Amino acid sequence: MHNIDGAGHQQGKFVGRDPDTGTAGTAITADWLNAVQAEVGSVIVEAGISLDKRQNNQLVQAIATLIDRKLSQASQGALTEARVVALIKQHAMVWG
Amino acid sequence: MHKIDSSNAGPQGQWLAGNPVTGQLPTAATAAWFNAIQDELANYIESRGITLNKAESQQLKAAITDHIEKSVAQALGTGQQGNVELYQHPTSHPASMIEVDSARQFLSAQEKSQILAFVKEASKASSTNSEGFLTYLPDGETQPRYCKGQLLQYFEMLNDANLGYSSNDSGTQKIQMDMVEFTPKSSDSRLFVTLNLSLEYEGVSTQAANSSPTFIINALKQDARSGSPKNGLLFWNKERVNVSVEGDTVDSEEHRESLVISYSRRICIPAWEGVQSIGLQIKASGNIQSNRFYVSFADFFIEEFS
Repeated sequence: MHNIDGAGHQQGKFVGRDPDTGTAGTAITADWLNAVQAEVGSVIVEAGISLDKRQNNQLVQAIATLIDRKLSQASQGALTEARVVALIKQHAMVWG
Repeated sequence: MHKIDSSNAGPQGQWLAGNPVTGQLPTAATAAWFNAIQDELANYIESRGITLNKAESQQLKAAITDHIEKSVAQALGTGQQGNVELYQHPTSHPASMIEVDSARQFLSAQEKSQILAFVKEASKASSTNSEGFLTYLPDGETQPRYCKGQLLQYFEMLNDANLGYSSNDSGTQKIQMDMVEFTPKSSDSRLFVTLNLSLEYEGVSTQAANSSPTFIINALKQDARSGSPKNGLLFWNKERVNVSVEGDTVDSEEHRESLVISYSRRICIPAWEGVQSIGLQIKASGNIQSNRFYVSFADFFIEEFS
């Protein structure tokens, strides 16, 4: 990810074309467009979702999936009663 | 963030392509929209402490996964459930959290003080007799005892038949049993001695009615240096067993008494240096005559406590 660095940018920002002053608009670079595309796409792919041209809510699905996945992993390590019993047995064998 | 709102933008803020055939111009790209997209992504990535890097293309993914990881960990670490890796046992908590069972129970301060008082009482001798022997008589019990320390050794001397016979027409007579080797393990231990004795007596009182002979039972300690029994170091000194002999006239054969004395006694005494053997001495004295007795059964055993 990077801020736009095409011709005519001002401190990494896009600047619009101004016919009155003769100012040219900031050049939109392939690098920047690809960077945005890759950043968004990487999140979606991380969630196990294939990029689909017909869907535009895949980022929302991806973030929700990533949160659910982490919560599920964490709950497996949570100290439920069964988990405590298993831990005690496990360590008791080591001590025993 | 906003949807594209430039000229020729779609009614729902969507981008539209131009069409040269119809002369339709494409949606104009605006700096504001590009900046919005850029700022949304850049601000979030930077808010997670990540520096934008043109050479990397997965910084948004890194920011989101890190965000989720830390949020979940923080929530579980302070929430109702605890992650095993995050769980921290409290440094202290009330005893009421602990459930007692039949084998493990709490002791109240009052119970503790009562037990300590009992132990203190039980560990000290309640009295010291003239020979300096320590005895302890618990409440409700008739036999003195001493209940402190660890058993170091057990020693039993057992004689079971006709240990001795004594006859005298007047005055004191005695039976003295053989001395038996016994060596305490420690010079400051306590000896817990149990004596069982069966004595058969026959005699006549020289006095008026209800005059009684007195048996004096001594346990002798033989000193290692002298090699002879020392009466001054006795387990029992002047332990008296009074035997009633009926009669109201002197020298009357009619008032002869024959009886069996069963005697049992336990006592705790301190051990002392040099003891090597222990014996038993029985004396009969009193206003009696023509008396005779013999010990038909006697044993005593010694438990030595630290």
